[in-house]
Amino acid sequence: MKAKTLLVAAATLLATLNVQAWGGFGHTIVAYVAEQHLTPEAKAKCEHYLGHSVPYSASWMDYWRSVPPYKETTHWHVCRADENNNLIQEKDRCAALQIERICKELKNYKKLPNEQIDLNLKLLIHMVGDMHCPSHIVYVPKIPSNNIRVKGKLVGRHKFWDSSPATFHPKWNAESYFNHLDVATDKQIKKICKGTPEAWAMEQARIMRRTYTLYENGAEFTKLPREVRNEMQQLVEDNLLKAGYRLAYLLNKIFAK
Amino acid sequence: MKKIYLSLVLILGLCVSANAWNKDANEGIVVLATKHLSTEAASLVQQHLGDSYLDDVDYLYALEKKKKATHSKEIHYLHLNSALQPAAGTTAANDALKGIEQAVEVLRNRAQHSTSEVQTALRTIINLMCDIHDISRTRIEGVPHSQQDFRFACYKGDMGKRKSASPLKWSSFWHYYSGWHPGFSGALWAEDMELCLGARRAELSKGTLNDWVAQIGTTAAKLYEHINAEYEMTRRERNELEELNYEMMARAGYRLAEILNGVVK
Repeated sequence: MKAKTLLVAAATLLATLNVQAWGGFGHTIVAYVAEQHLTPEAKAKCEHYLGHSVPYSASWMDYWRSVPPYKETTHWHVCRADENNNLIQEKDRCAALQIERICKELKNYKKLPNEQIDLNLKLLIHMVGDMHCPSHIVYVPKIPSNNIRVKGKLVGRHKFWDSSPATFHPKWNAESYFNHLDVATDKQIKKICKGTPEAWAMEQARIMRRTYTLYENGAEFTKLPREVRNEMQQLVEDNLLKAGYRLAYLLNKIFAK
Repeated sequence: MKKIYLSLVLILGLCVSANAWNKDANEGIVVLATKHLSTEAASLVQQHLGDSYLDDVDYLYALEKKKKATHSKEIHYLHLNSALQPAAGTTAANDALKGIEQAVEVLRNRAQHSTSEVQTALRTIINLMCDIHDISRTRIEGVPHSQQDFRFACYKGDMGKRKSASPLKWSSFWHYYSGWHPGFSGALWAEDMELCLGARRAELSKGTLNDWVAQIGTTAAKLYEHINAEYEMTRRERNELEELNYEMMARAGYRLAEILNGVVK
């Protein structure tokens, strides 16, 4: 009993000390991929308004979500989809609709104060990442959560997918992800970026639904069949890249000459 | 049972607080420094450390781990008196400033020292220049809570659901910031520091080693005035202090370059 309690205490402590999630690692990857696909003009403009690189600003929205005056943004990390994978049109509770609002606003960025451009960019960089994270599509009606264990420890569905970039490649950093995975041709990238953020969210809602049937509630990740783990890994890698390409597409469009 | 818990917490705390920042962030400081080395200084580093210089952010800790250290763990700390001047009675074995000064002397007179002594001096400077810029490594006489790694209350999560802050060690708090950008390599850290603070490089690295220590001491003293074991830090303050932490990391990089450029002049 003592040993069990101690192990739980140790695991909890370690978990609080190592913050690595789509809220961190995954967002850095998405932003780094985007940065590599920015035009020189868009990259310079982003860095000018952010005062930092695009990857550095990727998690800002997570750190400030519960601090006034940014509390309203706390509902902008997810997209809600109905049973037909259509987006629920609640502007204040939907990342995709907020992305569309911000892009519209940034179209006339020259008329906006610098602080507004800075804030909008930080929100945009983060929300495009979130929108492509499997745990950030909320289904209405709710689908029962399929929690998962990793080496016996219950991680939970949301946390598992959030931290999946580190699960699949524990030794990689953002550059390794980019160097290994960025193999799409210009034609493929163009196809990925076709459509609007709303359409991308609906596509994600369709794809993510599968994550509820890939494994049963309480399954042990390390004991899942190889093909299931491969499918999960593929989904994560595809989505990180897609998010990066799409973020670059939006930023290039905003800051086009 | 309580004792076991306490020792567990202590062990985990030590694991985290060994380095000032995480390895990638420390590497970022060194990469930033290398961008500003003179040709002579770069060749000194290359000649003695080759391409392994990035491993040296951990040099003194590695010796401690292997139980080969001849220094005390206090070498990772700056010891200042109440006037924020270097405290009396410290040595190169138990104080970061003295450790750096001694290593600088070895590098200045490198012709009289063996290759291994020069290597050790370079590695010591790299490790300690990172250490002293971590605010939690400043101990000030007359400020009792600066003498130990105290705990205070801080919000670590970001969801805003938690109604009360949880205890966090002072050293872990500063270390925690390097976890804000997981996936950042040393190169990415350096690139961003340069982008963000490069224009202020001359200002951030101005002065001598003693001036830098005074700046670090003043910054730490200001924080110690209100942050102690009874303090509960808001999320806003936690977020705002990240900027200070970042500036300290950049200062460490720019000053490391200055100190190495200085010894080969």
